[in-house]
Amino acid sequence: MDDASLWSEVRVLYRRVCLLRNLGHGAEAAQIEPAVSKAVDAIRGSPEGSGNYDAKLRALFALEEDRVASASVLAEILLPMLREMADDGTRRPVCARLVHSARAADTGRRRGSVAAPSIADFIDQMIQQERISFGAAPP
Amino acid sequence: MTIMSTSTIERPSAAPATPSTANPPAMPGRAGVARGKTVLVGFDLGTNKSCLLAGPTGSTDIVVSKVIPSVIGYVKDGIVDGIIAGNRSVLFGEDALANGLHVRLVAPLAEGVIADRAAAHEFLQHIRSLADSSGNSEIRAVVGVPANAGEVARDDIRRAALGIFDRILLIPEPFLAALGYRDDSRLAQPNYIDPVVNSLFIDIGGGTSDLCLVQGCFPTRDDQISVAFAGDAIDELMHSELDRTYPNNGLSRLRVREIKETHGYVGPSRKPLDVRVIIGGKAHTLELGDVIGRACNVLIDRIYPALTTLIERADSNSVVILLQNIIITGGGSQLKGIDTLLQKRLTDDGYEAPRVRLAGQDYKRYVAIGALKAARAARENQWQVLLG
Repeated sequence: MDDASLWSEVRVLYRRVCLLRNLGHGAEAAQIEPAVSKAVDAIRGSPEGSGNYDAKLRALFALEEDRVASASVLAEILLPMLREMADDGTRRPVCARLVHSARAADTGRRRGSVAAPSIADFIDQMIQQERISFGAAPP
Repeated sequence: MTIMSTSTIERPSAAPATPSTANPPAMPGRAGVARGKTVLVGFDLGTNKSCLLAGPTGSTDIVVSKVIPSVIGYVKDGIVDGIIAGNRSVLFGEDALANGLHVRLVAPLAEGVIADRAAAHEFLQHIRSLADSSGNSEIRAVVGVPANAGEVARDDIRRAALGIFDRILLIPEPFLAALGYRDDSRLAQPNYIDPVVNSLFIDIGGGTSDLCLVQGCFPTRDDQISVAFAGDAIDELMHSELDRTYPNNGLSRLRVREIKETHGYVGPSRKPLDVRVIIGGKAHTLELGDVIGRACNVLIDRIYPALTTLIERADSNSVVILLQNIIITGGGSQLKGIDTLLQKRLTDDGYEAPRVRLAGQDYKRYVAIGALKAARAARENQWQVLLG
């Protein structure tokens, strides 16, 4: 297996561990951890590697943890909205929320934190709601 | 000035959708006078107290920070020169209250909305003068409105602001409170729970108690409930009961409010609760434990159904975290025991590990802080221009 494939394998396995932990399945995550360790050892023993493995691994682990956290928040927001859309067909507020959520999740990823919505996006949503509620003319 | 219909007095700015973080170019004022710098204002127009924060564009500095009683005093006829400093004919806020003997006090708002348009206009002129002493800056104000305020109430604010603020945005108060309460410096911390992502705000003011679900997107009308019972209604109940219990007590509504602000509580009766008052020039000590408790507990009875209604409207996947983030702000948050009582009632009713907490000592300012944050973040095309 080449170097890129080894790193890819660690990434996939560790993401799976993060997902399982996030879902509260700690025991299942623990079952995969030996495979992660084995893949990490394979990287360390790879003749193609350029060294400095620990720093790269730390960065990879942090990135995957962040991705799973962001995805989890996004899913928490999106799922009820999709359900709501399926239930009553009210597409407008759902669409507004989807746009916002995607932006928020993206912002959160970049900031390395949980979704931090933009105030200007909130104001956009408010103006959109007002146009519907009060019939104000669009700009 | 003739005021036209709403659609003609308000229009969104036609400027491109860029953030207003930089100082925008000066624009002509309403009377054709060139405006100087731009001042951003966050304003909580409250029934009893208003809070003004103002600062320049392009920075986070707050240049003006004031809590002002929402009252105007029109000086009575026949007051001799020199009694009122500067021989002014109209006084505002603390000044008006301090000269209560010589002025006719008028409250511009009642139950959270404008009750006297002329007084509201004068009050906003005063606010403008505090925010911009030069008088020639462009003023862009984000003003808090009660949750679910109707178009009439909103239009009244716009009319009152005509010729005073150059651009305006009206945003529901409890949402602004959430923005104001949010600690921006901690957003990047993994253990910080952003109140804007998932919380329930209870903003108890003078005229209304506003409850709002804040769950990562702008609250819809279904996410907000405004209860027309708050500090003023408690004062009224206390005053009525005092009049029955102690006839001819001579206590003013203002004094009753002071008593509530000092001794107000909810929950089981706290007796004895002795309060010293001056009646007919003589000091008396009245036992007011029951009077105060009964009046304040009505607030709980009124807001609790609204609280549970909003909790039940919250998405089932997020409600557990939401229950950990119920935050009380506004003057009503100062009623002793209000957080523990609401938490206990939720627990007793079977809600999962609820946690109700008080916003803290800045409770008078959170709406205005949120409003100023919104003013700083608003894009050019989001501001509404008021046209006369």
